[in-house]
Amino acid sequence: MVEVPQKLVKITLDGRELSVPEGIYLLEAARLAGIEIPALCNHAWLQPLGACRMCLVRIEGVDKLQTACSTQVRDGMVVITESDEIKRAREQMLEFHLLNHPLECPVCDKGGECLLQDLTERHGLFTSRYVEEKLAGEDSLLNPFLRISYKRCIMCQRCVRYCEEISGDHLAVVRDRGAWSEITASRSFSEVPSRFSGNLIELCPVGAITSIPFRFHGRAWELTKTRTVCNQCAVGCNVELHTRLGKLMRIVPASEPGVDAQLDNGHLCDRGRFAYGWVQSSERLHRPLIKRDGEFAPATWDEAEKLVAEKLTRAIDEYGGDAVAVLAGNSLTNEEYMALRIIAHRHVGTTNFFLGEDLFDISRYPLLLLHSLFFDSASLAETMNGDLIVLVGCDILEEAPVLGLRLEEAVRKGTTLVSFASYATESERRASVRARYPAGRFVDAVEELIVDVASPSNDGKYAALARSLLAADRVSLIYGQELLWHPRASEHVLALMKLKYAVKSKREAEGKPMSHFALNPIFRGANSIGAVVFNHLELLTGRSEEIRDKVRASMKSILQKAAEGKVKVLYLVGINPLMTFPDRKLVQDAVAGADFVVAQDHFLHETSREADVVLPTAPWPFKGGTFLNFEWRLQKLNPVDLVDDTPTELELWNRLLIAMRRGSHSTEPRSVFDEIARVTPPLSHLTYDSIPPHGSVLDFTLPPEGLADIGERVAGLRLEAGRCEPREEYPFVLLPKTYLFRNSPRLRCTSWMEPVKPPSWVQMHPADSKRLNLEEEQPVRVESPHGSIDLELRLSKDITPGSVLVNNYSPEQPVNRLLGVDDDIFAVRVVPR
Amino acid sequence: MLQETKVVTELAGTEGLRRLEVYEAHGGYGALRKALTGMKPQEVIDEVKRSGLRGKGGAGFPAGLKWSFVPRDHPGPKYLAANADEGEPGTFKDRWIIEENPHLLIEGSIIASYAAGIDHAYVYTRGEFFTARRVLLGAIKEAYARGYLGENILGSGYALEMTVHSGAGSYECGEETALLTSLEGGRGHPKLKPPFPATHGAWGRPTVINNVETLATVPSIINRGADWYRSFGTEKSPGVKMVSISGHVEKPGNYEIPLGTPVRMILDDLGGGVWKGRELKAFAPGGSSTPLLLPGNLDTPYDYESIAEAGSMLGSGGIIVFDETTDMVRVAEILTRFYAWESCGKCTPCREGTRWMLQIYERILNGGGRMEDLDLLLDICEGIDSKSFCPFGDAALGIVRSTIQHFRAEYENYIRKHKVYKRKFMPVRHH
Repeated sequence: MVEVPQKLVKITLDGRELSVPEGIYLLEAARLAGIEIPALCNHAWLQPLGACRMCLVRIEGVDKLQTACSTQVRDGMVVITESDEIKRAREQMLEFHLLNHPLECPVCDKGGECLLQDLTERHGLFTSRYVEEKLAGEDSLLNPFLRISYKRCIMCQRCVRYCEEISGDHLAVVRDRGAWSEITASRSFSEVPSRFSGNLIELCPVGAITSIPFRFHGRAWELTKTRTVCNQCAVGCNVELHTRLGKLMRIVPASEPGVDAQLDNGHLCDRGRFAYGWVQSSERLHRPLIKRDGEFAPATWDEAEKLVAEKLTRAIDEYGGDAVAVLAGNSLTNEEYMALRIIAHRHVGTTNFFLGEDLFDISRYPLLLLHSLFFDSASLAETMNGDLIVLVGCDILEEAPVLGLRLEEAVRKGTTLVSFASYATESERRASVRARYPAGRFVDAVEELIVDVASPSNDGKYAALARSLLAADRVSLIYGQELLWHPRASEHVLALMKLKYAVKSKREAEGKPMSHFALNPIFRGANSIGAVVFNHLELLTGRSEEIRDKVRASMKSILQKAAEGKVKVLYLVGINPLMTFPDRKLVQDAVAGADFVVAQDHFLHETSREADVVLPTAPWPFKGGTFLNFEWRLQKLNPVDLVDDTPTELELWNRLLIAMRRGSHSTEPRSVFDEIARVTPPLSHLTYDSIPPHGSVLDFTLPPEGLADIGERVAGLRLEAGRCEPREEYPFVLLPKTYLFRNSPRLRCTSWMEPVKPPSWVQMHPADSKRLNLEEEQPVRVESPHGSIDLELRLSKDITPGSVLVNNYSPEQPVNRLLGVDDDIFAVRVVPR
Repeated sequence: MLQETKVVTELAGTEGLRRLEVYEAHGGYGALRKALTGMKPQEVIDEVKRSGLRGKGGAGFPAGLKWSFVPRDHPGPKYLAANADEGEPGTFKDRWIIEENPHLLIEGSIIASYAAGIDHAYVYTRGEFFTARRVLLGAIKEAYARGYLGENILGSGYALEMTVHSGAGSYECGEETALLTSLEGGRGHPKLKPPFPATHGAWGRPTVINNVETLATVPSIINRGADWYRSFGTEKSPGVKMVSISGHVEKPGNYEIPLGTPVRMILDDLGGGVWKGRELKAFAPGGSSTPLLLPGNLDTPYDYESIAEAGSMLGSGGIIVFDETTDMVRVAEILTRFYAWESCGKCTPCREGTRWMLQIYERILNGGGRMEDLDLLLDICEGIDSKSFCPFGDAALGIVRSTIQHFRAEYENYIRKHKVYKRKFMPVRHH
């Protein structure tokens, strides 16, 4: 997408002369001039439709009234938006809209935030001449979250167009004709769930589409609204939490479509919008639990704190600080990571702490790797305005759905999208090149690609991909879970760096240096980037040599130490490694090997159930602090104005420190943040209160000392291709797939999320199943040297022969039973059972 | 005594005309040979422009001009859509052309495609045209076999594919942009204009949409020249037009006349006059969507301008005749029911307004009419008029307005006496 300076044209609007950008629609031009033209079917996300006829205006020289939503401005156009004729037309159109629309505003969820209601107040007549029988029909369900009222629908088709133009899932369609037209679901919801259906709720200008979880839970004006940041994935969409009667009632987007387009542009995914029921779930823990004789018993906070403090103190006193190991999840706030870092360093004195659960091992070339993570990323704006977006091993619509939508928006506006993955996904639907690498052989494939980049005219395997890379001036490469949720993740990142510098130097050799080539990882957590930062803060504080000298403890090494019995107290904060670490056996051994395990969590889940003490903390809606999203956008969380009976992380740690008589720590995110900003030069211009509402993309321009020669260093590094040949008895490469609706505790404890649970079956190419005499839906066992899981077989041509795909978050049949943290590839076999 | 002027219907009644050999034996595909081997595309366009041929589907847009809007140097495919979605009540000429003489449409379509540089011609047939579709498919197969379609037609190097696409039974799909949406596989909803089909038509490609009769006229113009065609009709409405006469006449059917012939002669000499010796009450001059004219308009010349001056439209050429015994309120109700049922539902005034009017008609015919209903009906018409998305909305108004204008007494008779139509109406319901 090349930015062209916008040409302006002159129009006259209600007697006012205006200069507006050429090609925009009259409705937009009027809005720029502060003139409100009523419209129902028009929406910032959608192409104009011209169906509601509310925006009729008079254009000089045109005999009929014209719809402002679909008329582009022309130089010299003279437009009248207010006159008796237009007032009359608006009254008529509203009368038509209200013919069959029931007057049930007092019981309609939309009342108070309904566009039809507002327009009728402003432009309508308050009497109806309609004495005939209104059309009546039953409500129906669009999917488990959405109810559609036949009676209230005014056929603006916003929902239908969203499903067609934006989400592409074709969920809502029109059935029948004329006044009898009806919006209906195109499929039953046991089929493909939609990821963005919740957006239809705000999109609907009337109360025809309402949220089933929220229905009848409160009127718009009774809700207390708190702006915060979603904590479900790496995008960090801006959301509003609506509370009433001490409860979280719903989550809605905080951004106005078309206006707040920096990040989410008002889109939310269904997980971010609907997976909130767990906050009020009876499954959530409110009191500490202490395990006695293998059974958990509720305890008082005093008892629990005293016990944990005593265990920690004894371990430190008897074995030294390193006898305590801390593992934290990837959705904590920066302030919590900072506090944990300080407490571990200064108060406990351990080096065994690891934040986040994304990069399990970075012991090879740590400095190069961290350099890429810290300095190679692009902002969303840069990505969307670039020439080329490359998706590598990333099903973006599953991993960071709203980012996926924004990328497709960029593609609609002219950016090219190409994809490089080992199996076909829906996220590639707008890609112009779809290259496939053999599952498990990513590093080899990149080496081949680099050869094709060097001589793109040769008809190499990846020549098409190489040519698109070389043709672009501004490239954003986005890589995801297929590469990252892997023991060899760091090798994959190094391979991508090598690719980057190969493309850059080829372009330089051709005399066409690139403007930028960004590498953006899409991690799983809402603040995985923050975890990386606070694991390796030295890189930002100008002491990068410390990293080179001392490879920080990794999740793998800590678990190994625990398994060897070198860790006396294992302290887990918001983390469930038995599900999320790619080696179940190692986690089991680590938990068993530690004398005392503390889990700080909201639920009893797979890992916290194995702990000796469980300390419940306040969930995300009750927390302040900051997150860093995938583009390094620093965003602020705001707690709802409710009191929860559990402490926040910071409060709990302070209490523990006091109980241990080892000092204290601030419990205020504000003061922790200001401390972070003080010690971290790239943040020094910010204070907690000066973080803008949409956050601030952190831009680190200066590479750290000693890495000026990074291009040469990367070009020279030798990738470890690994032992790629599957052993004969395990002929398949396993692909653990990260789904949006993965069955994590938060989704499990939200009753209405049940129907969208992802499949827990193993997918295989029909050619392989034929060879093995296996059939669709046959019960099979997937076996590896580490263990086995029992699943049902599904056939899919999206998978390349030689690989099998399994949901990587299935509590009943956890995929990490099959995995080992030292595996080069995940080799498995599939046998009937 | 008026005789028919046979141009499109020249070979009507010829035994076995549907077959290619018979059509060829009567000079068929001669015009195609002449155009493809002797004329440049621009010469074909110029000839048709000079002939003054106007679109015969209703709007009367000059055909040659339409073809010239197609960009010459556009990369990628261009399309022709022959509009055979003839759904206007009172019009049945296109079906007759296809069923009687399918090769005439094929020949005309190929010439038009050649002129506009088109790669693929679609014939969009109305969903209910079962016979016409079958006949046309057979004829296209013959034309392919004989080399009139496909690669290198008649050695000219020009190639054209032809496909028959059947609609799903919607009146609205006769509207050109709705036809395109339906052709693309979508719901039959009209599209925004601009961009116009000539540059952004089917699948975003340049597309010409012509009525069947228009295309069927083209071979004669190429054969005999623009001047010959211009020798018929009037200065502004040159040429001939097929009319479909239906309703209360002795000899209903399709006839072809020079434009400008007085309506009285068409009805009396060709249609055999009002049936059963009765008097004429009113007639629709161009299909159900054109406002009714009265016996006083019988001497109006049947051409675009004169009919418009009389307060109606020539439309698609379907003349519907009502005798003196006709219940005009019932007529309005029947046609309003048609429009309410056929409204595609895209835009609000048409979708809601047509059904509202139907409900009022049902109430009036059920004996529940109110005097204010007449003003209300006119007011609803005003709300739809020129405000609907496509011309459909306006099409639904002619019958309501003209019956209230000319036959108000019949409405008042229903309302005053609480008269009930012969049978009780069940109000319209969902499903």
